[in-house]
Parts: sequence; C-alpha cells; structure tokens
Amino acid sequence: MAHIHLEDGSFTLVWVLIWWIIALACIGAALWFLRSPGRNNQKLITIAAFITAAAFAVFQINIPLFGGVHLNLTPLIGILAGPVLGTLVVLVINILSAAIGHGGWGLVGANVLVNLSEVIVAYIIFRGIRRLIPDLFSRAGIATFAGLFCGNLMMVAIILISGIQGVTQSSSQILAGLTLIMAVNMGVAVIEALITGLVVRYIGKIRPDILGENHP
Amino acid sequence: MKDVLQEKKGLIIFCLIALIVLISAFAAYAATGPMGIEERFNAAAGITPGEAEEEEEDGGLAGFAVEGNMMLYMLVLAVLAALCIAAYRHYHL
Repeated sequence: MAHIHLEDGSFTLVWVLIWWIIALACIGAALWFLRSPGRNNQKLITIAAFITAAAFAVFQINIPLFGGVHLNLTPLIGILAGPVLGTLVVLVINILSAAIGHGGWGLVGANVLVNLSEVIVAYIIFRGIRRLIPDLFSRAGIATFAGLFCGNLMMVAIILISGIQGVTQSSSQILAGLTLIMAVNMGVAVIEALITGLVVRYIGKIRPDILGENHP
Repeated sequence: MKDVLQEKKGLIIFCLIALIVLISAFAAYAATGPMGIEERFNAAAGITPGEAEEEEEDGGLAGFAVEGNMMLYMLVLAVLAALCIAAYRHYHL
C-alpha cells in the first residue's frame, strides 16, 4: 500500500507538473493501446469497473494496524485488469480519492505513478512465474509482495527526487524516515497478499477464463 | 506428485516473504511508535505538526475510519456501484 500522504505544497510546482506529465503520458499510452485493433475486450471493462469500485472502497478505509494504514488492491487490479486498463483504474481511484479529501490534488500524478508501478510489477510477476509456481494463491501473493515493494521504492524515489519544500532535514534523514514507512507499509502487504491470493484463487476456481488460466 | 511439490514450493516462498516482511514491519513500528499515516509521513519528511494541516478524524468503528469526507465517500461509492451494474448489464462478464 504505497501512497504519498503529503499535503499539497509539499512538492514544488515544477515537480508536481513533471509527475503529472509523466502520468499523463502513461495514461495516453494506455488509451492508445486500448484503441488499437484487437484490444477491445468488453469483459475486461466490466472487470475494471468492479475492481475500481472495490479498490476505491478499501483505499479510503483506515485500518488500525501499525498505527493506521490502508489497503490499495493495486496488485489485484494488475492481475485482473492488466496494466493497460489498470493504468486508467488507478487514475480514477486517485482522482476520486483526492475529490473526497484523501491526498492532495497536486500529488495525484505522483501517486498514479506509484500505483502504476504496483499494477505493472504484480501483473508481470503473476504471469512470469506461472510455470514456476502454478498455485494461484501463492503466485498472486508473491506478485502482490513484489508489486507493493516496487510501489514503495517508487514512492521513496519520487519524494527524494522531488524534495520537500520548507523542511530542514537532509536527504539521508528523509530516506531513513521513508525506509521505516516502507517497512511498516510492507507489513500491511501481508494482509493485501492474503486477500489478493484468496480472491485470485476463488476466481481461478469459478472463472479461470478471467485469469487467462484456461490453457496450462 | 510434481504438482503437489510445486504448490508447496509456492506456499513456502510466500510464507518466507511474509515472515521477513512482518519482522521488518514490527521492527519499524517499534522504532517509530504508534502514529497515523499522515503523522508518520510528516515525521519522516521533517514537517512539524504546526505546518501540517490538522485533519478532523472521527474514531470510526473499532478504529476503522474513512479517510476524507464520509458523505462524499458514500456518494462516490454509490455512483461506482451503479456504474458497475450498468457495465455488467451492457458488457456482461
């Protein structure tokens, strides 16, 4: 569950714009892929709608664990909707989250990139280790850990690259603090991995076609 | 037999990762102490409490609270649920 929980104004306007532009470039690429011939999978649109609603619902719930954390379900988005539709799903979730007051508007671009890295890595790992680990629960769980770890790395990198306005801490001090946040976040990844693993295993039992697991 | 071994291999890797991650998380939590998400970020970034906007948060139910505006959360969730029903009826699954 990586998400930059800083207020608007923490990053300079230049960095806010840079992260927004990179995020918009990713979204543009996703839209281009979706409009290309042969990629119009209508079932995936329904899956994306459901996973958007589910992820938005859990994204806003503060869980009283390690002082307060929340789940993302971004690896599940990657596994079920794929990285192309997943890009649009994380954009919608981040915009809606900012709209209800969870996270700053200026950080939506950066947070989309953080969540997008989770979606892409989880998707790649889930598909990539299929032969090595056929069991859906374990594979989805490992993909979730990998995705969330990369999301946390991305979060730390974005904050360190951007810098935070008006603070006196050095980069190494900020890195030390963010490393602790990363470790706490990864603790919650265990819950997220269990949920993702159980959901994927259930879907694999009743509708393996959704996971593309028809042909081993 | 091979499939059973492979399934166990996956579970062993999963459990090992979970164990390492949980030990690290508890160690980090012991170092930082009980803090909310925003507090932990502010402490890491060096933002003093006075600089950060104070957010009014209710206690929620057994510690589970909604981040952001509760009414807007319910409204957005209702709209998303309606869109899911529409997508399911139009595109099926």
